[in-house]
Amino acid sequence: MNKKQSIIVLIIVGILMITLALFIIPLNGEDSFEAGDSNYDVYWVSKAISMGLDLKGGMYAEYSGRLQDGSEPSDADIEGAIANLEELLYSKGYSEATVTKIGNTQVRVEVPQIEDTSALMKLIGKSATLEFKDADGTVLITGEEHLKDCFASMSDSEYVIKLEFNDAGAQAFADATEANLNKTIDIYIDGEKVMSPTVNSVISDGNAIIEGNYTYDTANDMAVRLKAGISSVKLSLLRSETISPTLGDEALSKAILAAIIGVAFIMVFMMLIYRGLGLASTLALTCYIELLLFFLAVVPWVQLTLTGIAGVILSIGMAVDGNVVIFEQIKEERLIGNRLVPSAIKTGFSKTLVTILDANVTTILGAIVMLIVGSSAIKSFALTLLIGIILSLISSILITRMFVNCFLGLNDENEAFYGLSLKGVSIDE
Amino acid sequence: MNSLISKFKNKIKTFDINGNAKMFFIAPLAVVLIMIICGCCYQFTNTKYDKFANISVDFQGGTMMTVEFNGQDNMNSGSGYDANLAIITEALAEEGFVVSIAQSSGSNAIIVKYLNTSTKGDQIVDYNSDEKVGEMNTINENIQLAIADKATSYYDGAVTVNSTATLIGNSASIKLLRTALISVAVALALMLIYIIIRFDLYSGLAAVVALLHDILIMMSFTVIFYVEIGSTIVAGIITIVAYSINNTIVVFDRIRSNMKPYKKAGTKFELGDVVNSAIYSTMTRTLFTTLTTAATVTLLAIFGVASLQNFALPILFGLIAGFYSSAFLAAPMWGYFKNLGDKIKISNKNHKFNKNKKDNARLKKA
Repeated sequence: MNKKQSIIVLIIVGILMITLALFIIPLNGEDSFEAGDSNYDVYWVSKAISMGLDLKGGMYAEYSGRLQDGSEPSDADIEGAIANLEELLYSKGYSEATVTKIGNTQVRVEVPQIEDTSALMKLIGKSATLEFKDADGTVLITGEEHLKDCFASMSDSEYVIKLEFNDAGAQAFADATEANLNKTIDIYIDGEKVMSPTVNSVISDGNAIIEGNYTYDTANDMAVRLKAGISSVKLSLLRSETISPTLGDEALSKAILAAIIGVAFIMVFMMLIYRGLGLASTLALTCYIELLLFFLAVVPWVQLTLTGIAGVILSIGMAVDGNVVIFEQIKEERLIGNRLVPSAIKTGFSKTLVTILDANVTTILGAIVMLIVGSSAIKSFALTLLIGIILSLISSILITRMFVNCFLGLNDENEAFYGLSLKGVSIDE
Repeated sequence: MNSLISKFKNKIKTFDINGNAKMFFIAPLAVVLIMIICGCCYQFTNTKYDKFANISVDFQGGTMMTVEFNGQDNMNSGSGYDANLAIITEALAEEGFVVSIAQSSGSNAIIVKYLNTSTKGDQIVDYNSDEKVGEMNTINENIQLAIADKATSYYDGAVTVNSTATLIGNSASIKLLRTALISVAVALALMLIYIIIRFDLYSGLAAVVALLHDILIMMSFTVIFYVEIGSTIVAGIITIVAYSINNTIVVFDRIRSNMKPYKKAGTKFELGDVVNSAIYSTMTRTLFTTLTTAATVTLLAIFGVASLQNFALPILFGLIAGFYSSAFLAAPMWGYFKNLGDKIKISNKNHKFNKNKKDNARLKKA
């Protein structure tokens, strides 16, 4: 690059980085800013990063699923249990709740920002029983044995509750409707009678509807309650945690403080040891941090937790490792190989490329192992670490090199600036 | 700083690391020995520590409760800490639980841990089993409410309490231990395979021994300083395994390029010299890369809340161990394994040669 090109590249990159930086944190502390007569809403990067429970507060609980007879549930059983739980939680107004499968037979429920956890725990922990009884109290149908699905539906422009039975259930229900034709069948949830529909006809195909002047909401509510009793999976609590949101605030601000001081230390260190080259890596590190924040906001699976922040900070520390390896090689090329500055820099970059790739592949492998087998706290750490490492590869190999090339375009003779002066250095070997 | 480093480098340069490799195993052994002594002291003497190591509820089942007292400054200083701890202890005692470990976190929070076993008079109930964990959750909620009530009356309403409870049942902790061991083993195996592919078998073996050393030293310091060992230790170990190998690779890479001229010419060379010069020429970068990473982790340990400290400190110990093993152990071990391998190869060749001789002799006789 000649002087002109170098200046142009530096200016373009500088404007780009400043523009990107402006989108990270609202400087006026508000979500929108005024320009002329109108207010502009901005999707601030720092707010788009989704926070984990340990930072914003809330509760999570992990359950192990077992069938009623104590055997291991199949995938379909667990998926069914998860679907039930989700419906149950949403119907009760916990709209931000997430239910995920961990391992093969476990379920994790996360509910952010709630205060009263005991009501919620009771809701989940209880495995509902659903029973159809005749007038004498004999159990005709049980939810877990005979029912397949249950949902709100439309029939003759009226909302109804639709019941679908499995094969055994279809037979049992056919028998039950035949025996109780034109009588009522009582439906019990957890021993409490919730409704007593009248049997109008014998139903043998395993599909039934319950009519009752329902609105969509009432039909749906009832369907959800009935469906909870279908699940044959019994959930028992393994671990739970409630997190107060104020604790998360303190943890977050302290971690950010640690990150800022850490970055400052690294920048000063690099510039002291490597002078101009260090300046290039400092600029690259700034780009790296901006890119990292953008990626954390954009990559969909990222949920920043305390361990995730540790991953970010650790990867910042690792980001300059590549630079150190490159710069030491450049020094060696200059001092021992006795090359001129531009040639030493060029050789230094090209010789270390394989080494840096080799070294980072192992860290990436480690992060992938954690992503696959780790618990959710570990996964968050591994994902931010993984994003960090990949970006740091780009930063140390490409971005730093671009800045160094710009510097070289401006001046490739000032040895002192690059920290590559031969004066006063004893040449080894 | 530069002069200090060059002094250090000169020392290293004139020192035959490879020839004195055994010496460098003294320090790690000493650390392990200190760990055992410290652990035994924690276990058997009457200190505030009651166990060999500070194992969190993650691995043994139990409840960890973080109680935050808001409303006054520095609630953890002076008598405030004792008074607050007394409130918590009392609330726990009413339900029959005993605090096993208490520590302060930040300026106004206290973390207590207790086993899920309640003792009321003669009645001992263990809430760790799968069936009882749900009940324990309710009990914990009651305890949290009781603590809030007691704090309100003690401080006349001037202080509010936020609390966080982590409840871990037995089967969760057993499962965690199992996945921890599996994931560390998988990570190690992957590193071994990768290094064998990119370098050679000897490098792979040397690297894995170095990594095992790192894990052992990391855990030893964690025990010595009584840092809590929780579920995040797994992430710490895997991070160290994956990171520490970077520096080892840089050294091996240098050995590889130092070996190139000898391979082509087939000339004799001194293995020790190759190892020593590789260590010497990579020393600065090994030191600096560790330094920049360790700096950020140290800051996390200083400023972070308790759970971050428990995560950052073992990683810091691991980084130090990783520097040590990359700089002083990995390369000499590679030399040792290579020597061993070459000897086996030669003896195999000789064996074949002798066998051929015998066969030839037999043929002649026939």
